[in-house]
Amino acid sequence: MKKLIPILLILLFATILRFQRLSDVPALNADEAAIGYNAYSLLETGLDEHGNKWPIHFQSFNDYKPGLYVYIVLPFVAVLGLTESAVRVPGAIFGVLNVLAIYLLVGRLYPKKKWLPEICALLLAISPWHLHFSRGGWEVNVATTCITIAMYFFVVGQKRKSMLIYSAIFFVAALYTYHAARIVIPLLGLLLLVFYRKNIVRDLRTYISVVLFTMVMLAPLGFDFLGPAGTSRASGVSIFSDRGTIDRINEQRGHYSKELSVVGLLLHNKLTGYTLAFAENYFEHFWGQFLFLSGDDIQRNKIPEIGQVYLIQLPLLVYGAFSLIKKKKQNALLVFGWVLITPLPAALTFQSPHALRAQGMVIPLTIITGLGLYSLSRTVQKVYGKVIVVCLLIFVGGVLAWDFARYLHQYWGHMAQTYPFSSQYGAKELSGYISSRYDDFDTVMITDRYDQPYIMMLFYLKYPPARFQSEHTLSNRDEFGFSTVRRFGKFEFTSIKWSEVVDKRGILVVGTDEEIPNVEANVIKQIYFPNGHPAYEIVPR
Amino acid sequence: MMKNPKQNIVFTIVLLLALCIRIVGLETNPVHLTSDEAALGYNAYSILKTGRDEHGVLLPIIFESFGDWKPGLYIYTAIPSIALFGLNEFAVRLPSALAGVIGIIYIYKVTHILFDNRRLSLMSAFLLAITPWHIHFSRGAWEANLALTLTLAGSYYFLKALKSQAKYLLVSAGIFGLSLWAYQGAKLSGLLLVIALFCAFGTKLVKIDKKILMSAIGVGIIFSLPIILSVLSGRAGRLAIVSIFSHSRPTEYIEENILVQDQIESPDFHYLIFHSDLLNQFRGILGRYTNHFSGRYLFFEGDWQNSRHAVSHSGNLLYINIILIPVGLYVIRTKYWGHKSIFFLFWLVLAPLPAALTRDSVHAIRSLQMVIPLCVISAFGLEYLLSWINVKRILVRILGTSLLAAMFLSSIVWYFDAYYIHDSKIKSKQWLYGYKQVVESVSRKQSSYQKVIFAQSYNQPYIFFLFYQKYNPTVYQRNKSYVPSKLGDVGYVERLDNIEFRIVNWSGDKEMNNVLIVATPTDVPLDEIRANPQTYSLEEINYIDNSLAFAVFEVHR
Repeated sequence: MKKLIPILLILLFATILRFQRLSDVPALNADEAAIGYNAYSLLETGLDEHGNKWPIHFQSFNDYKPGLYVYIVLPFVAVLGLTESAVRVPGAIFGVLNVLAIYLLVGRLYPKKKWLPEICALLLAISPWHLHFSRGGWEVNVATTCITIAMYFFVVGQKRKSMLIYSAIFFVAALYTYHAARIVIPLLGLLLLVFYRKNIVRDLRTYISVVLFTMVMLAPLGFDFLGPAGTSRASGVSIFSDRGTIDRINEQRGHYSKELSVVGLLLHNKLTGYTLAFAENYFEHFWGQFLFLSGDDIQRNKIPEIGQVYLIQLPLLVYGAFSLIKKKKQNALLVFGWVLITPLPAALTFQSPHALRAQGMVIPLTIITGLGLYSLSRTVQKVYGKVIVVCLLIFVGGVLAWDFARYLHQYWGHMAQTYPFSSQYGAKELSGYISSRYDDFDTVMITDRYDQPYIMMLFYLKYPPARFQSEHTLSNRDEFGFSTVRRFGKFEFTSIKWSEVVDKRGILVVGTDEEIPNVEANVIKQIYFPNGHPAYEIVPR
Repeated sequence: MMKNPKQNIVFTIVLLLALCIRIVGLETNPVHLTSDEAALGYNAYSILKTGRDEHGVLLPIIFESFGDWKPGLYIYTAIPSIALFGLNEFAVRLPSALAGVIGIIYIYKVTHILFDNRRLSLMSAFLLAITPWHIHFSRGAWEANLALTLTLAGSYYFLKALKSQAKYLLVSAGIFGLSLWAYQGAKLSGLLLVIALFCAFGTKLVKIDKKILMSAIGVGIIFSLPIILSVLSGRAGRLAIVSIFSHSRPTEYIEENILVQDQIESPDFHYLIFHSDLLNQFRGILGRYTNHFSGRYLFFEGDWQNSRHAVSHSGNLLYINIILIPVGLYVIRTKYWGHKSIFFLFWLVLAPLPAALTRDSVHAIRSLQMVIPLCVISAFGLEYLLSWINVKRILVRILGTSLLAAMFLSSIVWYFDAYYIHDSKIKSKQWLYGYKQVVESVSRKQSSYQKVIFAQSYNQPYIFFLFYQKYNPTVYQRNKSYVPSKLGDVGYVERLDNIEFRIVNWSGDKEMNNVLIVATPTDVPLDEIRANPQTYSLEEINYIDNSLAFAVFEVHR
């Protein structure tokens, strides 16, 4: 029992970090609102927001979200109502579970390394990368947790074959939860096959029956892929939809004289162009600026001036990697393979590096960091003695504590102010105001400047799903493959042109600061971003 | 090296290959001389003819040139080549090409003296011979390449002193000192290499005779003293200007993003530990440092900040290095772990520091030293792969070898395609294409005009007139009109014979009589001039992509 106290404290710490003011920091974003509302819609009507019956992929913004997370949220909505907490609490719970899972997994992989599981669990508990996506309804975080748990059961399953079935269940769960997992998991399976080939050949029958069981569980997913869910998401964001590559190929072909044009065709074609684009994207995920300094480019996925992992992890990762490959029986292939596989799906999209799609990297990176710290202190202890080791640990701990404090300062103090567009700040306040005045107007016209305003209104007004299903249409896809809803009930979502609304009557106009003129408009309410800049200006006509 | 004739032949072939890669088409690739290359060439020419540089100084160690104070070793090495081949592009660039080949000899020697493995040394030499980074700076009068070869030679004699005769330490110290005469940036990178050597081999150094050690230090000081003294007297050139410490965050940024958000008036405790300037500088340095290890820099784009330091759509290394480097690191860690191999890791870790400490986010010249350890690590990888293939069955052997050969070939073809076919077309403007052509045109016409007005620019147009007209150095030294900068930056030359170098002022200059104007497209109303080509007798000089570089035309009142 005494042995468990450290991990229990770490789990408690992880829980506090993940649940502290979970419902309002950061503000709910459109994807989370969609998850919540679809769960609500299912509870109320048995259909999703667009009237599909118990779907495997949720049509949502025509991005066909993998559905398992919505079903996980469902009971929480039933108990807590349609609230931010209902959408986010399951994500945070999975975040804490992941800390437990890495503890168990590392304990299995390195049974002789004392304190290593605790080190890894602590590092994951405070990891900026992991915390960011644990705090909110992020499907990727659930998938990462499921993969970690599945890996644990697979390793346990080498000794107790009955455990393999749990591994299969969690891998399947991840496949139902997140797009990127569908590329990662087959490759991880291949890696496990190579790594444990001797055991697998020995117990071939067990493994075949587990694989068959997996196939059966995946059948519904496979059938669903035959429908519109199959192609939708990949098309909008993949490297193949990036015009730049084609333009570059054509430019390069233009440089040849006629005699050499065959060489030009051989060197500059779609195959080489996309392969290079993919390879370059892949390497971006191992770039120092991304990992240690600034993180992702996309504001929603980042905290100002904070990398995906802590600064002190740079030397520890390098040392860990070198110590890992030195000796056999360190599971080097497994850990390196894991870290090399996880960024592959993100590299297939043109926004690279991508912290969200490649979040799975955080698990093997944490393990390597832990190994680095462990073997560094072992070596130092052997060469220089105990006192120096204590000094080293105090130093590493001190730098880590400072960086953690800096992370907290940036997350709680600066994130929402520096990146006001990263989430739907102001949408909750807006919906509150609108619901108080809803009966006074014939039309409520809301700017489409911010991401998917319709879902925010549906969510916060708890708009009856049955009514919504019957009265809305989904727009055509934009260039990134997303659709939206332009009108339902009294709502209309459009870009506001003041000259067009100025003469109308009975409209409540909600626009941005740029859309609403300063002088002539009678602004009755302003809603602000966390940094004090106006988000919405409300004008009755 | 005499023991194994087969390997001697291979080594000779590698050297011939390296030489070919470095001198074929040297006069037209890169597509045009840079101002610095022209200055190096003309100063060498000036020394050859008069013993004095363009400013009339007798045999200087550091050349004033444009006011950027170029260390003179490259100029002196260019003298024999200019004496032989005349003042032209090939002659100016030849010393760097030869330095590149000599560098390949020394990477062979350094790896051989350390690891005593001829195959490994041959592979290091071969990989350096075909590495884009090294080829790029061997092709063109890049002083840093000369410095690189010198530091490599210096390390070799250092290692030789430790292994056999201590007196080579004197040679080593002399060569390290001499590298400062070649390139400004060698001060820091040379020092870092010496640190790497001391870290890895310091314990052996203690055993060396104290007398020799002291005299080596003496030699080092004597050789580097002239450079160090001249730096102290303010001839450091751009060093102060490019250093990061002269730049910090704009005050508006601090106001808006930190103080207002933290709701404080002035820096407080949180500011001190989370937002301090020191932390900001450190993050900047670390960011630039890690940039030099990014895939984008090493394999895909090369130096993305300075267009002349890289070839478009090619990295500093070949694509095959993506495989060789990880394998090499693995082999070093598992089979060759020791102070000898760690020396190269030290070197690799220290080499980007000079670049990280300055402002550019990446800098292929200041981090050029990285190419040596990277090639050696790759050589470990290549040797391992080949010997691994060799013990397999015949089918695997054939398949593996041909796969490896195919990957090598395609990597190399991709690079040469990028270098010879695409780069000149994409970057002819950055390579200052057009100056040679415009100088030839003006030289033909200038005597029939009272005055020539030539658009002044940072590219120092006067130096191209001196270079391509083979202007008599004695005459130039007597009549030069150089105006040094008051800010310690580069200065300007204002006149050369009847050519005036200044900014074209269209409204005033069009009123003049019997004047030839050379303008860039933004200086003058092109459409008006193009509409009346006869009146202006317009001649257009284009970049290789057919956009306009210079408009040469005359005005009459």
